[in-house]
Amino acid sequence: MTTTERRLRTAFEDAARTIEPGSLAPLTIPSRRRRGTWTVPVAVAAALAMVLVGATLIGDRMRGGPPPAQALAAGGPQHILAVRAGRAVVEDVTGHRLFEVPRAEGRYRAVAGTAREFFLAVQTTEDTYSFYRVTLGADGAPSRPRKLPGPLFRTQTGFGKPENLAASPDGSKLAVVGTVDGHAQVDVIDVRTGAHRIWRTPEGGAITSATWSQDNRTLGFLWGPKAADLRLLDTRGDGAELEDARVLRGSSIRSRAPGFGLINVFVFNPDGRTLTAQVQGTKTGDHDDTGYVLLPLSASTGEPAGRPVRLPSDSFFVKTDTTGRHLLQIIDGRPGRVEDGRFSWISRAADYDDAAW
Amino acid sequence: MTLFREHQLSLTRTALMIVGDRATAEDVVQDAFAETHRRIGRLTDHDRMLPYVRAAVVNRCRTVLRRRALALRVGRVHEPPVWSAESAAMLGEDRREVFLALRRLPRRQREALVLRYYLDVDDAEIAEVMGISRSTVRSTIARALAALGRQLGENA
Repeated sequence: MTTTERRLRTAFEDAARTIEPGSLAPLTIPSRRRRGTWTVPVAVAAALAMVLVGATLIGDRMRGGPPPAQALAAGGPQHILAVRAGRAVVEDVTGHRLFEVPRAEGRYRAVAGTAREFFLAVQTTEDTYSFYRVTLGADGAPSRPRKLPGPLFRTQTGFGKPENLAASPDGSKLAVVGTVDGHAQVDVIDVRTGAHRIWRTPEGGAITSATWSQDNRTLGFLWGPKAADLRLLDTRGDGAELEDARVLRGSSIRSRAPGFGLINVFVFNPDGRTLTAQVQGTKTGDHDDTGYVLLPLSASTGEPAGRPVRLPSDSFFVKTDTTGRHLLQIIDGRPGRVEDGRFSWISRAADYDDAAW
Repeated sequence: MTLFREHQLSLTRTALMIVGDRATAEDVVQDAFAETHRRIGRLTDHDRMLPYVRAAVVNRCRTVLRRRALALRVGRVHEPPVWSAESAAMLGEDRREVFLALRRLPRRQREALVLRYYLDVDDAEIAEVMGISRSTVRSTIARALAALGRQLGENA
């Protein structure tokens, strides 16, 4: 259990104790009222409304219902490798299943992609993982997963949390960010040899959102001993302290939309000049919810550098393709995509744990 | 309705974590009790009563929060005691810090955390109570912990 979980439990328990047993007024059963004379017209109106709604729905269905997901324009990714309920499957970009990746020794938990290949994290015990490499044929057919060299990888954070696995663009390194023995930690693993370097901190602090720059040496992530910052770590530099990572900016941000907000996750864009951040805005509306956008940021200053794209909800997930024009999203387990400044759903299924293209 | 009465304390405490004050929490549970009593004849699976009454309480809490959001628009600020300055004296500054961080989360994330870390309810029941899928429960809790951890400067 993490520090946050412990504090949460303690706070709940203490607050709960402010209502002492035996101090509540007894629940009372309301007296039954006779059915009013208005119930008949209301029932008739409701029935009419149902007929109208039903007719509309049937009409929609006959016209083909909601528009199917559109195939991407030429030059974009053709396949998605998705992790769903412990399995890895290859789908086309409209969410149709094409192939299942052969099983490995454990359940698939996370995936990271490059232009040529995918890397899958497979859970072997409660807190240990192995990594496998998979390539796809032109038709999307997956190769047999090949296990990467090196010992079992241990993390207590687990995969499936916001962006904690990333592959460098040239496919030579994997980065994993998470918590080990209460310490925030970055692991960079050499895919060819299995050797790995560790950066950690004596302090805690949640660490999320691993992303590689196009130079294949700068790793970005969100971490700070107090509030989280967007940090950039030179993985070829000396030192083994997380504090060595340069602060690009704080995670609090003010932009035209969604106003004041918090950066939940970010990725380097392939152009090398910009980042894409997912920003949670201030709480609004009758449902006490917030607005969410994808916002381009300058990679050199961290300041907003383009127009935001509205998202239907909080995704804590953004992955780009090699062109930077196609952004993959998972929102509440459901995949979506952003192109030309617009979000659209890929599938109605909501059991996606991770995906890459 | 024995079950409702047996769980009145835990249901009221759950509502307290979501709406923030005792009086409203008690009203929420009384209203949910009345609603469940009214529909008792239509409930077929009596083994699933507890998730049903929990869902009724959570739904009532949402109504309260909606009303507060509307009140906020016309300038009436509601400061529920659990995350007010006075609660620091009652619960301690550390607990208040947690509740202030909770308050900044979207409603759904807050509800999921209360059900998981106060009631110890599993993914399947949280999904049933909140009317969302199990994978959404997992992702919502993961996000909420990450956001909370970042606000508190801790390991999520």
